Amino acid sequence: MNNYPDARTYYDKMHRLGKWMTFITLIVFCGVPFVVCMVYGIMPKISDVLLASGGLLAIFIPAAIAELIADTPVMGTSFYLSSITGNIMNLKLPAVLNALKIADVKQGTQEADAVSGVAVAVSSLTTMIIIAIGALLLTPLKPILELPQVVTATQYVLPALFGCLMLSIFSKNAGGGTVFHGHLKALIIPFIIAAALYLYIIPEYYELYQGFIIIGCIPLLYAITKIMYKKGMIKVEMKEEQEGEERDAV
Amino acid sequence: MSFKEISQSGVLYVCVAVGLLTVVAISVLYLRKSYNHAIACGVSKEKMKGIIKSSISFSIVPSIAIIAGLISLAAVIGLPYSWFRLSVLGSVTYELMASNMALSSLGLNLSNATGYAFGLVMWAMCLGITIGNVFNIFMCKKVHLGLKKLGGSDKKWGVLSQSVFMNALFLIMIVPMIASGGASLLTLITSACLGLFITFIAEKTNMKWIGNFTLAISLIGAMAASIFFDGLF
Repeated sequence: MNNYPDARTYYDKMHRLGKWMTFITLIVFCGVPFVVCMVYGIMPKISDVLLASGGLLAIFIPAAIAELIADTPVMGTSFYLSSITGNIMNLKLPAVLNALKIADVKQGTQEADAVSGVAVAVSSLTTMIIIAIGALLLTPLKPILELPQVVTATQYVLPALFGCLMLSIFSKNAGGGTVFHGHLKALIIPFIIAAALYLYIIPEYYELYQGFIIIGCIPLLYAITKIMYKKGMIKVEMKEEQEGEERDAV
Repeated sequence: MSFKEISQSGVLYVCVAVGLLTVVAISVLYLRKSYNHAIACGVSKEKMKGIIKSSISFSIVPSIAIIAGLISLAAVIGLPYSWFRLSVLGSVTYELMASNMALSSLGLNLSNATGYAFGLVMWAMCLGITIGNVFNIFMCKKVHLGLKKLGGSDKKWGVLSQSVFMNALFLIMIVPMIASGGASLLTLITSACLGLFITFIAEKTNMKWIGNFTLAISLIGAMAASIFFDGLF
């Protein structure tokens, strides 16, 4: 008897859960400034809030959309919790990629979705505990955290993370027995364009408007990858393709 | 009351505690559901243990880096709200940028910021980052399930197309690390080399368990090496 959970039911349930989690936490996150402002009589005018946050919205709306499109194929329904707990690029996404590699499951399946959920939840709880310890011990920890060597090392967290992550992201092994051949060729043109943007065209704005650049890169890379795949320059090897896809059809 | 007094007030500490406990409860609930479903799908308990251990060990060092950011942010908006903002939503970079932009938009700085300015900073930081979560409520399911159907009837193209989105995001993020060269590039390369080395050790020896800590070891090793590289340039 096939006890494998029905994909549509699972995804519907988890998305419903994710939406409720997000809604509740939005009330809580907005509740903190609301309560404090009401208690102390410091509620700001809406016009002042929009003035103060306008620049931030211009940067973070495209970044939020880019993350949503880029991360959900990997994170699945765990993207809700990742967004709630933050630090996606430096914590949640690496935790998910690591978990998928350990579990050796194909991206986009129910197993991958559930495994990602475990990784994100565990990473979130770990981070909250460590930050709580850090906040309570901030005074004795401060001299250590302000050491020049520690300050320097923390400036390189992202390259230190991404170097190892590159091996998973750009690996030909896509998990669950699926192997890509030649897929990195599709990255050449987007890499050249992005490097030109960073070095010559908009060097001072590249990191600020990364969200827009990612949104622009996605359709370009998609088109190049599809053309190369159709021409046979990129090949995909799969095992158990029929069973896997039917189990996860939505 | 002044900016500083409100930023360190008991009311704020209580609100932050409620907020953090809510997120902890949600995370525990989600962990249980995901764990049980992974087991139901046939993922072994040994693999799940490995994933949990790996997620914990890997999360420690970046979390310590966040505490370093807590010191900077606490100097601007006080400890309780900094603690809250860095534990949930956003990131260190965003929160520092948000607090500074909020103050400077009204021509304020810490020396002349009033209680009203603190209220403004709290709302500006909140609005900017929570907008992404509002999008998730309306768009996440459509995007997720829509992208799953991208491949159409070609199953191989379906799997390949799913990888495009992450590849694009990653590519754009690593371009500054590669193109700027120097310590950043060397740290990136060191991390990749350490990752390869540990994977090699895990495959060729009886130390399979070390594979669960590849990311954590590469991260710590590369960060340590970055201190040396930074001194070269």
